[in-house]
Amino acid sequence: MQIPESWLRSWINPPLESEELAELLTMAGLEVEAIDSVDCNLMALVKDLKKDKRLTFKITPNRGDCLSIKGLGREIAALIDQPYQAPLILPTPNKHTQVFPVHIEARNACGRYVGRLIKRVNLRDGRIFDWMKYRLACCGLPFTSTIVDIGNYVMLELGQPLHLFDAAKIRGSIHLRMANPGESLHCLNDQIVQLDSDMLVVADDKAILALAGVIGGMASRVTAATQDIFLESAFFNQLTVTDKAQQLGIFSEAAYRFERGVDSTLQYEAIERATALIIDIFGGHAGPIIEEKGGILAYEPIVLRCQKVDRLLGITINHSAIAAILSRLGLRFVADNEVFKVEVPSFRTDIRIEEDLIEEIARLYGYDNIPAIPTPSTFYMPVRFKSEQEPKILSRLLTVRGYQETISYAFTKESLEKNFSLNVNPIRILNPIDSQADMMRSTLLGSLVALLVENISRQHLRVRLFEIANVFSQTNQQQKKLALLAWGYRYPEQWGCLSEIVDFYDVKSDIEALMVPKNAQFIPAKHPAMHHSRCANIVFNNQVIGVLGELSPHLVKYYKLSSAPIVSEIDFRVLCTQALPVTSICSKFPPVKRDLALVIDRACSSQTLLDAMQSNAPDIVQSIQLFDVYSGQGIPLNKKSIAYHIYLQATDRTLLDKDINRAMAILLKAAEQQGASLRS
Amino acid sequence: MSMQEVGEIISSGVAALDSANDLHALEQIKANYLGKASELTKLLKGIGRLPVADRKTCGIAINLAKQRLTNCYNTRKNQLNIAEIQAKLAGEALDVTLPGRGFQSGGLHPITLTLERIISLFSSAGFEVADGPEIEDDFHNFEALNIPPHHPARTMHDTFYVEGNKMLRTHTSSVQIRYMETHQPPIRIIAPGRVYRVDSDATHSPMFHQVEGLWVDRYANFAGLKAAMIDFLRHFFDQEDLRVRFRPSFFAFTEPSAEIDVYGGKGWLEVAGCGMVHPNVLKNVGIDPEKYSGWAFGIGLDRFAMLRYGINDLRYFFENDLSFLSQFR
Repeated sequence: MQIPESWLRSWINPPLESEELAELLTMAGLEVEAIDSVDCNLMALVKDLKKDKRLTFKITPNRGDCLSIKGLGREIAALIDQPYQAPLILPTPNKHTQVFPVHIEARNACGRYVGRLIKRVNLRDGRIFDWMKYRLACCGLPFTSTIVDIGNYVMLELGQPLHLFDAAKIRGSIHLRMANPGESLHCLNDQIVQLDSDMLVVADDKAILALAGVIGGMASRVTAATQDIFLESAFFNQLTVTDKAQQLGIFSEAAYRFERGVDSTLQYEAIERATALIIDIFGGHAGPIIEEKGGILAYEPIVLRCQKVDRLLGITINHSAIAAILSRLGLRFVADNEVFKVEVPSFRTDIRIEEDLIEEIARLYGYDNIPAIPTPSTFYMPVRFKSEQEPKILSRLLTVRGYQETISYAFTKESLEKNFSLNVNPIRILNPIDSQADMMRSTLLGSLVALLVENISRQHLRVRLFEIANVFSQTNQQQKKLALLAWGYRYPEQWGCLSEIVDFYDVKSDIEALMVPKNAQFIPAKHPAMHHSRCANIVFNNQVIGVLGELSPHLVKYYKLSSAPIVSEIDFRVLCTQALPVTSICSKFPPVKRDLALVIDRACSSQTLLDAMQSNAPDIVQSIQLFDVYSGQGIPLNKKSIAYHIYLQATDRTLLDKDINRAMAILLKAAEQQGASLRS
Repeated sequence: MSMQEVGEIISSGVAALDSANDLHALEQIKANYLGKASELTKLLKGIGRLPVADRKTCGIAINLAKQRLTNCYNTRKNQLNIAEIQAKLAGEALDVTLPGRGFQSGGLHPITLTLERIISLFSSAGFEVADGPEIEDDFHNFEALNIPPHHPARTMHDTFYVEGNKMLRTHTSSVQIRYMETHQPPIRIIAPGRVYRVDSDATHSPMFHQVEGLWVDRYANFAGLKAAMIDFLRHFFDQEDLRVRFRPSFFAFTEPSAEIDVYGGKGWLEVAGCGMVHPNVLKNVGIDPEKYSGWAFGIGLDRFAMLRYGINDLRYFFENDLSFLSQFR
């Protein structure tokens, strides 16, 4: 909300500079976002106005009472403990007796309806006062130089939205009722809106005249030809108006105020104020004011305990100080010992419970005057969230291995979902900000590949990325994953080192490092985003916890990549589960190392061979370590040679040749059963 | 033989040994002076031909000469050995200014680094880290937080909706509810995470990060909230005398509510929202507000990262340009 400072000061003029006044209000919760100078041409409208500032307020939604000059004046009065000076509003005497009967049918929606017929106004010749134009222009309201401006002016001044009808268009009585399904309204802004049964309307005997508290209708609007005006000043229930303007796509100053709470006793004052201004400018004869009451919620006085004030604020504010603050705020009370019974005035729709009053006390006492005192606390040792202690270690490990963490939006688009997860039923966003980001990603892989493409375009030759984030699907809702991507040279380009391209096994070792001391298995698998024979499921405890592979050739081509990135995605919770290492006492007897070179079909996996040997190995075999894989000269076509270091050691004696030979023979036999033979 | 002869042998021998330039030459000279064919050996062999009275003195003199020359030889040999090793090492010199080899390390995202700092500060004060779903229901995101349908506070949150009457959480405050539903006071948690709002410009992103903090205990009060927040902000910004101010504000789930500003040299910067947990929120999760009170705060993690690293456009964080990210090590 914007207002000219001079208007506010005409109500209350504290001896403070503009900045000081802004500071006073800001520190009381009415934030002044900006103080701007007013355009000189605009200021020329008002004689004797030497200087002025435009104040922009950011009023929180609970403080509907401050959306007017009156409300702000009242607030300043409370803050500086001085009265404010309201303009004199004199009742306009009646010149005729005609009224429109008002029937409040929806009593819960309309609390009070006040109306008045003003006959024979001269809309063609009346001219809005310059000072009024100036104030409206400073407030940034659409400005028409017509009688409509008076409605806006009174709303800004007092906080009461008003509406003007062409009385000639009203047939019979005024009805406050809920809209019937199927009814529509041609609005003032030329928009035709479909109404719902939860919308309150102002209607006559025949048709709807206005959407109550939101916008008027085109048919009953005031035009230059209008002679008789029906002036409406109503109190519509907060909940009745809330959301309606937004639902219909209309911005309405009236609705903005009703949604935030209008003073339910303000209507009479506002209609007198508007009548006086209309007659001053446009002439006319005012008739009697008709007032009908619907349901207005009555609130019991609030019990306020001094002890509760102390408990919540952490300091003692004594009885008389509390009483003084309540009085300054216009809150009437009866005090009984340490307990107040506080009656809340109708304009403070935000004060309903004891805590609301405590906030008011703290606010006027000054938040900055409450000292900072550390809270005494119960001692207990917090158990860290299981998945939060480890991530730090895992992500650090990845950075040491050269990976850079990234954070991407959780939004994705259909094509990415399809390419990277074959997810045909993603979680869709109903109101996306961008049609290219209209669903929640079910995999992090698409985000990493997209970032790879962008970073290649920025001339990066070697890219290592990872992200840890939740992914979303209909079945799992939310799952935390770690994804990583490696592309380009194996090592950073450097002297004395071959420029080789990263491959599956480089990234496999990164994953093995993440798993330590857990042991994962890698089982050939198919994945929509992966090369179909260079992809593995990562298996732990017989459960698939992730996938590792080379990006599929068609995606490599689609993204115009010079080589395929290696990507992996793993269930993060599993990575975070801590396993204690299984330890054993190391033998004191000398270890022996023997080599075993085997030849086997190329299609046979090294895991098969290893599993076969390990499951048959005698106790003295400490470990079997693969150190070479070879195919080519000297090895038959379709075969490969795999060589192992075998480490043997006993815990109770020095091994003899016969022990060693026996163990090696057993290993060889196990390998032979898988089709391997000793390499000659 | 005369003693003079021996003296001459010594002085010429010493001179020759001292001037040997390499081990090979030294060995030659040693052979010349101390070998089988050397003058001294000859003299020693001829000792029997001397008068008996002279034999002893001559023998002593010759042996002394041998000893002298041997010492001299040893010293020179040592010198030459050291010189030879030094010459060899000199030939093996490295250019120690060449770049080191191997991997370069990567780095963590500045938002993660900022979060780690915040977590470690609050962990030191006994806070647990809690987590919750990013796709939330109306109850946890709004209703339980005292934001019923049609509450004007809902217009402060431009919410993304998804199918099945759910939404992307608009704040991490929903974790407060989830945690209090399953835990009894005393409660001390922080809940970091991603949140979503329909908004996008230099200072707003449709996805951003918050850290929620919650303390519920018998004696939680506003003065304590102030103390905790001032303490945290001073530590976070590494500034003992950081100016912090609290001003009244509005959040549906706290009462009283406050915005926290810190003084940033040119003016006040809004950094966090906080307040005493609204009694309706406590009631909604079955905690008696007459027995317990609580305070809560919410901070924009991205904003903290921007302030910490002096970055003025939020979008850099989500572009993930490696050249930008690699600065945060």
